[in-house]
Amino acid sequence: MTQATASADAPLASGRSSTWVRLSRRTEAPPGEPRRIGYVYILPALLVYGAFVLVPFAHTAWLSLHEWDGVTSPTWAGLENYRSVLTDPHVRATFGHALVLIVFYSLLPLVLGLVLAASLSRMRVRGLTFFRAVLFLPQVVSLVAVGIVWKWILGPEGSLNQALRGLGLESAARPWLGDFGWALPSIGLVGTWVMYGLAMVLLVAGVQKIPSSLYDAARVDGAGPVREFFAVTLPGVRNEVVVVLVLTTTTALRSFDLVYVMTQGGPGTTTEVPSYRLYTAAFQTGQAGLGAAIGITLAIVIFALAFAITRIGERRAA
Amino acid sequence: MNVPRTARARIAAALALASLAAVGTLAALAGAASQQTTLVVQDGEAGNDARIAAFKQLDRLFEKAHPGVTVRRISKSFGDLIKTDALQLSGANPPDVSHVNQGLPDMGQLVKAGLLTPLDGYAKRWNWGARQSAALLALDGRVTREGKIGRGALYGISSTGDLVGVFYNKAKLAKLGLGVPKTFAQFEQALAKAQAAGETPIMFGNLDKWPAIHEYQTILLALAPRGQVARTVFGLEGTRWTTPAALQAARKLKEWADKGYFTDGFAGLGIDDAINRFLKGEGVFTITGTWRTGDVAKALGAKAGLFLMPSAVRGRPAAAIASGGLAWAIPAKAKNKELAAQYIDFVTSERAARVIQAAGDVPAYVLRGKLPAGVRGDALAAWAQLNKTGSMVGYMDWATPTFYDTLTAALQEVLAGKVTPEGFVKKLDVDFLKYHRQ
Repeated sequence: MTQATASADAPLASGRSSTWVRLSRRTEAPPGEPRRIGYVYILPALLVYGAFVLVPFAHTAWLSLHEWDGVTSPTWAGLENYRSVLTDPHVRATFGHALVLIVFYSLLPLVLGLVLAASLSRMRVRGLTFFRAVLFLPQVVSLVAVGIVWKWILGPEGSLNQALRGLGLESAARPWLGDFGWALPSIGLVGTWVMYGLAMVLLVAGVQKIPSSLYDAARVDGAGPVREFFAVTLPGVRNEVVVVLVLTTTTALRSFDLVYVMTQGGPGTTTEVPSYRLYTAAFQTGQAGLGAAIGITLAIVIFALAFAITRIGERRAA
Repeated sequence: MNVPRTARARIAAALALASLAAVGTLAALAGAASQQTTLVVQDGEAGNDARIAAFKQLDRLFEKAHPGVTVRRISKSFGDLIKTDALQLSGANPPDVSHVNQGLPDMGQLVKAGLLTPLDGYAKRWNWGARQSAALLALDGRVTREGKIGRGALYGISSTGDLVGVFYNKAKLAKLGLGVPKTFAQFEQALAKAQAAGETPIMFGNLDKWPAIHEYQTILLALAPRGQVARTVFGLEGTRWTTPAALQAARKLKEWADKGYFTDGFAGLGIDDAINRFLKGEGVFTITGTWRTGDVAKALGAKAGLFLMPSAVRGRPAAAIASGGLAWAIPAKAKNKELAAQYIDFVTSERAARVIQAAGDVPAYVLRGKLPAGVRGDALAAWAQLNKTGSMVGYMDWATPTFYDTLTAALQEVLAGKVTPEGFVKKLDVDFLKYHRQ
């Protein structure tokens, strides 16, 4: 770390010492050396990014410090909205529900993807591309369509209950999305179904780039499938695991579509997630400031988690 | 916020209508002479074809009566209207006339922000009090400057009427050997008898959360003292939800759920699915709004009817959730207020009512004369009766800006036994008193 800062400081120091050196260097600078002209190249993208991401973000942050019903003029509220986010049991519970969803959106797909990837690494499957495309399909379908279809499947007369009754499991059949205990796991499992294709495609790609000599060596050393998985496959796809975790946890924390389409946060408030509460606060109940505060908090949580996951992944790799 | 009705199903229709409107605008621009005036009218009924057809007919009649005036109609879905109206009406270029949703969270907030024009002067000039009862005008348009509803100046008036009643399958009821229930007790006996005969007594699905408001409030209105619920919805001084009637109604709702009077698995069933099954002949009753009358008439024809839930007290007239359809209002920043007022005067007139009734809808103005047969006639008769007895009550979720969320979540909890009826009414009061006593 210290070494890196020192070397980064060196050219700066020399640049500062005399201006004409920098001027002459600019014309002769080797390719890849940072030049100010670079900012002109990123300007168009930066303008778009600024107008559609940075400015709205700043506006949301400003709103989160106010009490605003969406109609009359906002009044200053300081950190009151953030206090509500942290102390209101109703709002806090939504973050708890999001954590439950991480298990379903992120951990389960990762485990499934790893199992699939590991088994594919041990055998050659005919028509692999076909299976991969089929398993990836849920990822491509719009979440609203996914929500509507699963709403039918999970309905009181839906195919899941019919199947259960057909198997003689009458007592297991229930209105899944209207059940206080099962609604959130039901939505979570739909999330698993959507996300595992992504996890699998990334992990299978990762497995395929592991040199087969490593597997040969492991087998020569007498490793069984389990040992082989932990010694060769898992270390080989570490970067892919990090990517999968970052993408899926972000999706889990942001999830809105499935809840909106399938349960509207019900039954009671058992499936309310931060994004859904944000939506109702900002657009239905005239608490735009609270909605903004939830949004900012959520962004911070997502950023922190993504950062932590990448850091842990890098540290292990080092 | 008599929420989604069929809000989502309307979006597709809204898009289609929007593109039609665009074409219409181009045509209007091309043919416009310099002295032409264009009146922009916005409604929130996209998807309700009968109602839109009647409105368009009225637009043409208004144009005929006012040479040089072109009415440009913008139809939005209910959901689109209520989510965008605050921003739109505070902008520099709002429509001349716009539908506004009644209730404290919508119209109340708009008035508080000074975005609507008071209509009392026009109401006096054209004697709107002779067209609609004082109770209906209070429901649809009276708001105080602080945004409290049910009293204050008039800001909106509606062309049509909506009420929540009990639709029933005539053939099924006859097979059970029953007539239309005349008392609440008779209705409960009918439920028991239907269930004993292996029928689903009430088709109901609560996955969308709001339908339980209709079931609960319909029971509450049968049990509560006259006028109590209406006053509480308006948040009048001294009102609260921890009343014996509200508690008793919550117990009754739970009792019906426990006895299996509602569709199996109603907690996980969408309301559209539940009503579609009623339209296909399943179940004996369903409690919903008259905005579904057209669907019922089309699917069940002469086999269907509608009645108001009778009161539990002998001799007391039936009360029901009822209000005008979305109310016409003039934005404070509208450019052409006089012409806008003339338009509103026309679309709420007796002549307009004939057009609306002929299109198969319920006009707010109660017309004399013979009623059509079937469920459409029942809806008109029920509307006339409520107007006569003054027993219309606003939707409970109008009570505070957050009441829809509080009420719908609490209803799901009480239906599932997660909260007791006592806890349920207390939850309502916490939200209600926090807003109205602060």
